[in-house]
Order: sequence, then structure tokens, then C-alpha cells
Amino acid sequence: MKIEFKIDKNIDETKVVIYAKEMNEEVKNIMNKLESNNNSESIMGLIDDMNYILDLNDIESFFTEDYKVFARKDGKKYRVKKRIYELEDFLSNTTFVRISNSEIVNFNKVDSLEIQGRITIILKFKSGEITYVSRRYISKIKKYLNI
Amino acid sequence: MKKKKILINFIIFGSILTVAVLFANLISLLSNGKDISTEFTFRIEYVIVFLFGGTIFTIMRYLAEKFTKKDSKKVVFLKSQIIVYAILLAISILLLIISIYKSIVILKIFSIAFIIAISLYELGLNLTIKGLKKDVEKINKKLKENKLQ
Repeated sequence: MKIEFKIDKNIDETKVVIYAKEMNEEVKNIMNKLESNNNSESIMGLIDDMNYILDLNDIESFFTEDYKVFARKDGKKYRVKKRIYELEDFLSNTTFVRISNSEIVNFNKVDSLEIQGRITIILKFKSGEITYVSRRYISKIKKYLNI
Repeated sequence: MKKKKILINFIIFGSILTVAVLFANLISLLSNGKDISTEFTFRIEYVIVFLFGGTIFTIMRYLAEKFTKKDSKKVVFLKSQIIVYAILLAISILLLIISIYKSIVILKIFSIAFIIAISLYELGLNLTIKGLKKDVEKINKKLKENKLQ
């Protein structure tokens, strides 16, 4: 196996590209090691078979869509190969809080909460995106904010 | 919906409707000047009402939740829920009017019970909304404080 290392000052985010003839055990091992060595501050995300190491601080939220889990970062959707309950465990003691059965949100990226209609709670991100909070998870938010 | 959730919904809604029927029956006895100690006894209708109420409301919730999953928009769900309650309330009032005109006692009790049950649920919902509003205010305040820090 050849290892090549390039330094490019124009690159904002560290990127690891693996060239291989096929997906085999060796490639899988490298990917797993990369993911685990990146400590709990990052997670692997996929877009069109391309793997990206995502910094947790940059991620806005994790959500489920059509039984798949995605991470949202800068308006882009990255497929994450973890279940939402696994992510909840993985992200405990971080700034991420579960806000519904299908979403975990980074509270560093949250602007405010708003009640719309009768009991629809809308969560507004600093980016302008919005999502819905389940009232059953309000207690978790309060616990995180020490209220 | 999970089996446990279905059972809890069934018991809650069944109980609400049964209590409402008991109240309606009590009011009916009092308004007719009857002796409650002798007239107000256990009736098999209460069990039927419990089962009927539990089934109707659980099916209603199940349909509302199924509708949500398709659309995955809570706003749609809540709007549909409100519409369902409004329709039920309208039907109950209509039944009450029919029962008064046709002097059908059992229909009168049922419709009053339904109106009371829906009103009780709405009252509970309103209290929840009030609590939620307070929680949201507190969360926003804390978020602002964190931003300033």
C-alpha cells in the first residue's frame, strides 16, 4: 500500500482520498481507523459515495429521512451510517440535543424557538433554516440549558 | 403507534368519556329532581362507553399520526387534529339538538358526554400550551444569555 501526503494551503478542510480497485477489507479497515482516530469530535458523512470527515462543531443537525440518517452542514446533506439512537449516545455530553424522534440538533447553531399556531414549536437555526420540536423533548432542551 | 401507546391512549380517552358520561348522567338526574343516592348506580352502559370512547379516540389518533408520517410535517398533523375535534364537536352538538327535539334521553346523555369529553381534552391541551409558551420563553432567554456570553 502506497501512502502519499500533500500539503496545500488552499485547502480549508483536511480530506483523505483512498484509491483502490474495489471496496475490500483493507479499505474498510482504513476507513474505520480514520473514523475512530478522529476522536469524538468528528463523524464520517457520505455524498455520492464520497466520504467526508465532518467536524461536529460545523454540523447543524442529524435527522432521519426515508429511514436514512443524514447530517446537515452548510445546507448540504451528508449520509451518516449510524442510527439516530446511536448518535444520541455518541453525542451525549456535547452541544447536541434530541428535539424529536427524528432529529438531533446542535444548540450552538440554534437562534431561537417559536410557537406557531397552537402547539407547533419551531426551531430557528442561525443559518435561517427551520425545523420542528416535539413537545415531548422540551424537557431535554431545558435540562441541557440548565433551566 | 406502539402497543403500549395504543393501550395508554385507549385507557385515557375511554376514562375521559366515561367520566363525562357519569357527569352528564348526574346532571340529568339532578335536573329531573331525582334522588341521586338511589338512582345513580353502576350501569353496563358505562363499560360500553369506556370501550366505545377508547376505540373511537384511539383510531382517531392513529389515523392522525399515520397522516403525519406521510407528510412529515407537524403543522399538517395539528391542523388535521383540530379539524377532527371540531367535526366531533359539531356532530355532538347536532346530536344534542336532535335528542332535545326528539326527546331521546340516551342520545342526549351521549351527546352531552361527548361535548364534555372534547371540552375536557381541549382544556388539558390549552393548559399544555400555556406551559409550553412559558418553557419556550425561558429557553429563548437562556439562548440569548448564552449568545451574549
